Amino acid sequence: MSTVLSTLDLLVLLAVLRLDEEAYGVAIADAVGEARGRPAAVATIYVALERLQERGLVTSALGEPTAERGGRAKRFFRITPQGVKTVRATREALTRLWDGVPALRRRPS
Amino acid sequence: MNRRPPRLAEWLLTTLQAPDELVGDLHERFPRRGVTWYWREVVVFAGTSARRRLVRHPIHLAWHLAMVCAVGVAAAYAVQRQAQPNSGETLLVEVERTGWLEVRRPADGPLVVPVALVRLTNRTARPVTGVQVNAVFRRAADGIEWGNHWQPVARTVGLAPGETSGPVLLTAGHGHTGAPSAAAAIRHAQFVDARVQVFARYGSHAWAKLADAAVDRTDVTAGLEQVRSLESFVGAYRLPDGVVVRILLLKDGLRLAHDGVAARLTSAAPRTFIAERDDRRLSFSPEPSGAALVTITMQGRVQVGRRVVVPADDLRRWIGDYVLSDTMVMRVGWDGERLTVQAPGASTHPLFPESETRFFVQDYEAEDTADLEFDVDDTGRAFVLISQSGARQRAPRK
Repeated sequence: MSTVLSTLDLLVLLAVLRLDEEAYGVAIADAVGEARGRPAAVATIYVALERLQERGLVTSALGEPTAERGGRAKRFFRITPQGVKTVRATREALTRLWDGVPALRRRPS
Repeated sequence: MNRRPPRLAEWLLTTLQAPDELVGDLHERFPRRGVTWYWREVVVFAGTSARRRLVRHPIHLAWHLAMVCAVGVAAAYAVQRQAQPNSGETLLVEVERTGWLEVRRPADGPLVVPVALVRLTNRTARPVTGVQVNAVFRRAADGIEWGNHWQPVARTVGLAPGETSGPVLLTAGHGHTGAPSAAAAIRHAQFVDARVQVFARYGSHAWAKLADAAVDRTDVTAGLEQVRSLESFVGAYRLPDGVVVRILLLKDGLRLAHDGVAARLTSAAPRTFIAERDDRRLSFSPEPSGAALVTITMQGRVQVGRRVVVPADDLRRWIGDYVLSDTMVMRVGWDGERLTVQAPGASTHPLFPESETRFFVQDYEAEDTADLEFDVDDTGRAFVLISQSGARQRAPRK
């Protein structure tokens, strides 16, 4: 199994971490959209979340149905220890790649 | 904005087995994001769902492709409809005047009804067609309806960008009776005020309420004479050389029609008009008999035409239902002064005589005319030949 995440999966996991107890589909989509500077389709986020759940990187639980959602419940997502570990591994991999490109290395101030 | 997502889009999501929580998320965000956003989400879900199912269950490919196509077509249609502004954003209704109008009824004395004179403006940068207006009149005290008046304003030709229609007079069907005049009715101690709500729409868009006004306690019978007098000029006029010209009233004013060509008439004085095409000058004047004269002046030549008037008894013999097909009849009726014609599903229009048997009917807003020629066959049965836009139909009376 790959230990490095795709960009979208990484963004979704980071959004789940940041949103904590308020991490559900449309809120995660908003956070991802804000981070990358263009809107993210909620359906795309759900596909990513399903993929991450199958890999054991997130878990989910249903909330209470509400009228403003047409009587449907929210599904809240939480990152698993395996998910946190994968985020760290991805960050380290990206940092190593980053450092290997002198032109992109941060200049000392 | 509508707070409920499009039903078709929701149905497609369910059919594509979208997770309930995704449908709930979209429902929650719909009031802020709107129809276009919602359909975009459905399209994205259809695409990603098809791809994932194809990997897992290749046998479902054809079904999913069909569903994705259906989603695409439905979304394109919905987004296109959404892109067109609704009736409220497109049309502006200006209530120019309200008041009370005296309607003469030969048998029962005058009926004093509330009226509103409105104009409609196309607020957008593109032409709109199928413009209609409907006024609902109610008693101010208890809200009881006093009737409504539906009127197409620019059914086929539409309103150009920024264009304002001519005045549209909307009248209630009920009102005050018993008073000798509108002025007397307004002064009466038991006079009841009225309100008018004006709705408008274009194309197949929903009606929008665009005006709501109290009807002024004013007698507008005399004030509306100019609007009504334009209608009074409509008809066929026979000139001394035997030529018959038609005066039509279209949404932007009067037209002089002759030999299949219609020239717009612009107002030069209360009863005088100039034909735009050839500068003919037309002056209308009433006759004591109720007929009308038109004096046409062009390059020093003066012709006086007299409107064709046919005795009521000669007109009334054509009253009846004329069979257009197995299921459709055209009704020729009588409004107390004139023959009228009502095609299936259409409004009633007056018939203007050109002779005892030849008539024309104009669709005031559709800017179209039809010719009707009545006759009797060998068995004594009446029939009518209808000619419109090059088509001709024979309809026997029932």
